[in-house]
Amino acid sequence: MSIIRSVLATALGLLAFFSATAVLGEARTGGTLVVATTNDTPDLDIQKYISSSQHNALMPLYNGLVEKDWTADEPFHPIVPGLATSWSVSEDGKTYTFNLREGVTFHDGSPFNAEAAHFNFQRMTDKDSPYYDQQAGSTATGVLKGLKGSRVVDEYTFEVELAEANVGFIEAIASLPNYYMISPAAIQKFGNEEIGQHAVGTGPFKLVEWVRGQRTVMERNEDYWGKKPYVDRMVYRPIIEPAARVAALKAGEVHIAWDIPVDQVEPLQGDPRFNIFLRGLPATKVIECWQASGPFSDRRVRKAVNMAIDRKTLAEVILKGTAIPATQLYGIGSASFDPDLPIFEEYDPEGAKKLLAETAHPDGFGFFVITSPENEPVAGALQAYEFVQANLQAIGVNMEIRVRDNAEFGAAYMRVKADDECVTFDRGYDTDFILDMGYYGGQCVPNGLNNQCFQNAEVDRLMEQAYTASSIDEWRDLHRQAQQHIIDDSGSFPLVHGLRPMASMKQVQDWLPAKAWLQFPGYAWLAEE
Amino acid sequence: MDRTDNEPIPVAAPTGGSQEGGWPRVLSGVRSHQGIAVGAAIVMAVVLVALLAPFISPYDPNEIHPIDRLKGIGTPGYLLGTDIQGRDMLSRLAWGSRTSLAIAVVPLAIAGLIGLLLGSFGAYGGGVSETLIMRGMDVVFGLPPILLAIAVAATLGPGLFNLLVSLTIVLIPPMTRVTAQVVAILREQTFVEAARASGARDLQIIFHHILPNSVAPVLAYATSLAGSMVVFGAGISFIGLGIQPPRADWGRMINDGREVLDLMPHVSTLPGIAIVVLAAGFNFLGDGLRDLLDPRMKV
Amino acid sequence: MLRFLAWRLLFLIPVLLGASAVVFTLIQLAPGDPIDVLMGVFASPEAREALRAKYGLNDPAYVQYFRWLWHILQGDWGVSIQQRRPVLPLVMEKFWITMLLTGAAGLFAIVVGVGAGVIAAVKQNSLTDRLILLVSVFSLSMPAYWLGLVFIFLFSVTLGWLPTGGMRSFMGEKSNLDVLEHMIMPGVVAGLTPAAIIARVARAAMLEGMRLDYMTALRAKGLSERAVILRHALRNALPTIVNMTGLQIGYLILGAALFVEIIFSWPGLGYEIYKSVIGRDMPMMLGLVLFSTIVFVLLNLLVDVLYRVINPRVRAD
Repeated sequence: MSIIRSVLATALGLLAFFSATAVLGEARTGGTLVVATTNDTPDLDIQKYISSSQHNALMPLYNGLVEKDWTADEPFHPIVPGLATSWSVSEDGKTYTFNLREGVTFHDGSPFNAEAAHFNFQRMTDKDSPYYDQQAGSTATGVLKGLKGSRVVDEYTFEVELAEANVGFIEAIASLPNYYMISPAAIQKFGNEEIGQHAVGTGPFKLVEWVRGQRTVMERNEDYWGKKPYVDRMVYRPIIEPAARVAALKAGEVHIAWDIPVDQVEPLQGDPRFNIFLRGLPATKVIECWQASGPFSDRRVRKAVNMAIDRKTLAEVILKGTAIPATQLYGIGSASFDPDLPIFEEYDPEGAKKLLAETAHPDGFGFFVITSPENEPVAGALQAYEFVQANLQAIGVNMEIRVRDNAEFGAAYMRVKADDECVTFDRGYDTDFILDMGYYGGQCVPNGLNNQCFQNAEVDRLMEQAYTASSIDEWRDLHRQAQQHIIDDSGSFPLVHGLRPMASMKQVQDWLPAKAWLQFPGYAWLAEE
Repeated sequence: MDRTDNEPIPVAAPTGGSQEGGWPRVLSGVRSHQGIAVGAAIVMAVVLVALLAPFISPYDPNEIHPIDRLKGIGTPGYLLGTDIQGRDMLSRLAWGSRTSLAIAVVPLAIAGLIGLLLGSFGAYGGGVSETLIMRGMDVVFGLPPILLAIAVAATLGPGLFNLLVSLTIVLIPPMTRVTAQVVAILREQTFVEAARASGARDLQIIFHHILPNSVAPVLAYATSLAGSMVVFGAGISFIGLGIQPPRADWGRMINDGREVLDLMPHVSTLPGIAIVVLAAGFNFLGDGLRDLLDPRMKV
Repeated sequence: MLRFLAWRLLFLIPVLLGASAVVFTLIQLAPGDPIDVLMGVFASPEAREALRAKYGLNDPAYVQYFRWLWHILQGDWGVSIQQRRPVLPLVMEKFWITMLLTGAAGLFAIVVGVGAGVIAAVKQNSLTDRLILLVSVFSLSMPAYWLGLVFIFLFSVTLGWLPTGGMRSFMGEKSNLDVLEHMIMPGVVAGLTPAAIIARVARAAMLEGMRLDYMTALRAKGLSERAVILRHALRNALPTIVNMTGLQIGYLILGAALFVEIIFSWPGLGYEIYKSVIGRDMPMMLGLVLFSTIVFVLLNLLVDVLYRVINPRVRAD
């Protein structure tokens, strides 16, 4: 069913695409594309951080060995060759060999080759290298625990070694731009700190000017090895407030605005000047609570809370169709997202009350959630929580919302929590390794990322099995099974899957937002006004 | 007198001309009475709304009606429309008046008391003790109030109580300074001299003569700051460091309606108007009272 | 005068010590730390510790504070943890951006404030006077953050006259007055409260001046009313007006413009203070506080000196 649907959708999409192009003719070269982005990067060193706001700002300037095609109109974004044209893995799954693209140069003119790739991986893995960077290293190995080292085979052949097999390796380095390549010559010239003020990559755009918090001005890289952008220049203008982004779009100051407020979607859809996109985001809005002790350690309490949440009204009325009711932990655009799963829990406040009556908290209880607006560019976060607050009130559960800054949110996420302490955010990344990170029993905070301290022996077993899976498909299959156990265990409170509303002026052609945190609008072109 | 000793508090809207003679100083008493009347009427009206909030609110201010989100003014059942959660605007505005009044009154009252004590003891002695207290204020509170408020919010966490604490801290130095100035005038007055001549001890003089006579002018000055406090406090909530959802607060309500300002302007506009009106009421009242009660105005 | 200057400058030292100590203590007590903000949730505990050690965040608080103080005394403002750049140039950059906004706001406040004040004084007790009074009270009571939103909706989105925010535009024909266009709305919104205050002060000072006996004498000598007002009454009121204007501008730099900077995405000092508190970026935070306090005190000093120079009564003693 879902296959037929997606084939149909693709066919229709292609049809629409071709008819549109036929009318408009050839893509036009030239012009400046101005994009209102959601956030800015603290500096220009793409290897040091792992936040999408930083990666988004820098992705047009850099390339990875492998990448994902963020412009593809498919259920999830496929892995494509980047600076490596092909790759293979050894029998034991511990050595990956990359055949590198020849004739590629960095923006400073220095060549890209196996030495350059090796230099970059040394920066992340080799503590003895003079250019080892602690922050880049901890970011790289924090995600890929087994990343061990690298080796130059010949000028255009390069190997990466893992301590243990990991079928998700290619998936990870394709999805996370902190593994992208920086010019070794530039790092040597500026040093590990100062490189943060210079962006020297191989990407389709070159940096012209970056003023933190105000603008990133980029121009087309005429020597780019791949598909060259149509626009001469692209400007990123970070506007943090959603209302201000829409105002800028309506006032004609930007061509594209990311993350539109929910209530602006409908009016913009009816406005002939704009296109609105509701594509999806591989993240799920969740409330995550401490389960090692306290009320949420009881599965019946968790289930009752899940039953009390009216996800349908939340998605359709409160969030005005900019999200769909949560069915699972993965989000739309994630390769593991299963469109056929039913709603996470049917809305049944009466049943919830009854179930709660069986527990140690028959008259309800109180808890608090910590949320950080900086953490959630996704539209309507606070409205959603206030709605859930009212939902839970109906079964006697008192949820207090504490809006805090990112520093406090981070501290709360990473600590052993109080019995009544929860955090809420959009869980999910552009690659689908969220289960290991959040639900593996041996990884409770503060030593791991299982911030609820969720425990389920069967889930642990399936994940361990997945580590030694022979293929990514098998890995995904095992994780789907694990997810089903988590769902049955009411192991989390997923609310909705966001559709991430994005808008552009009609003048912008061939732009389709990625179903991802990462966005690359650089291949759009501007029609004559 | 050092000019900076009597600076208005540098928050959102310092009321000008405290020492140089504000508006009413040169006016006939008629106008200051008019100002008091208008100001008092506005403030009393808001106080009345706050007291009667449970009775005039058609709904619980936090009760959401998802189906009735963003209804306009005059929608049947919702006299002033609803907000992004379908909460009744009238009820939220009524209940929100309580937080705004609390922000206007509580920090000023507490800081006023502290200021009265510090200021009167400091200034009565004059000389070293006065310099010590005044300069101490400058040193410890040499910070921009907005910065202090943000830092306190980051440290204690947001919320009504912590907002009141941080506003109180912000207000202590100006209240102390003003008391000191009033006391400096009072201590030269004949009745104080007389008391001193009749052998009263300093402590007696402070409690029987200085303090009672300082209360009225300090109160007047405090009233003139209340309007700024309403605006400033709501601003802290507006940027998310003050009142927490779902509690009704005018500053938060402006922020709530921000994303739909061009579609459903009432959500942001009504609380904005409410703030302006209440702050203007306090400002009228403060101007008038200071003209009547502040001896520094009549020097 | 020199003694006065020296005394005031000397007093700057305890003020700066106090301000920095208060900020340091508050941020130290705040939950969360800059490394967590910087590194996100993926970094290993060891890596966090290593970075903490690098910035000296594991030392006792008083050691950190005195180390910062020691470095400051040697002219080293430290490095911003979030931005990895030296604090001083960053602060300077933000300072000039805020000065642009302050300049626009100050200009508006002086022109409108003095103008309204003089008119109100000249037409004392007339309808115009009362109207100006009314407008000034409401301007004082106006939340800048709300007025800014309304202005954006009105003048940018609806009428398309002025840009919504930021400092530069990137689309279409760029006029030479690009930055200027971006300054108009934030300048007016930030300048409104100071304008109201200056108007009140100017009016009072003008009235006082106009009542002086020698004004009557001047009038008797046949000087035109216009000349009396502009040349003499205004001249007399000037010290007071300068005084209050200086204070108001000081407050704008000190962060009264924060709300305006947030609403109009104006990347100045106020906004930076807000962001560095959020990011627990201690060196940046302390640098901003130190710098803006110095500027404030120096500005006050300048105003006082000016006050003494143009006011013969003060100069006498």
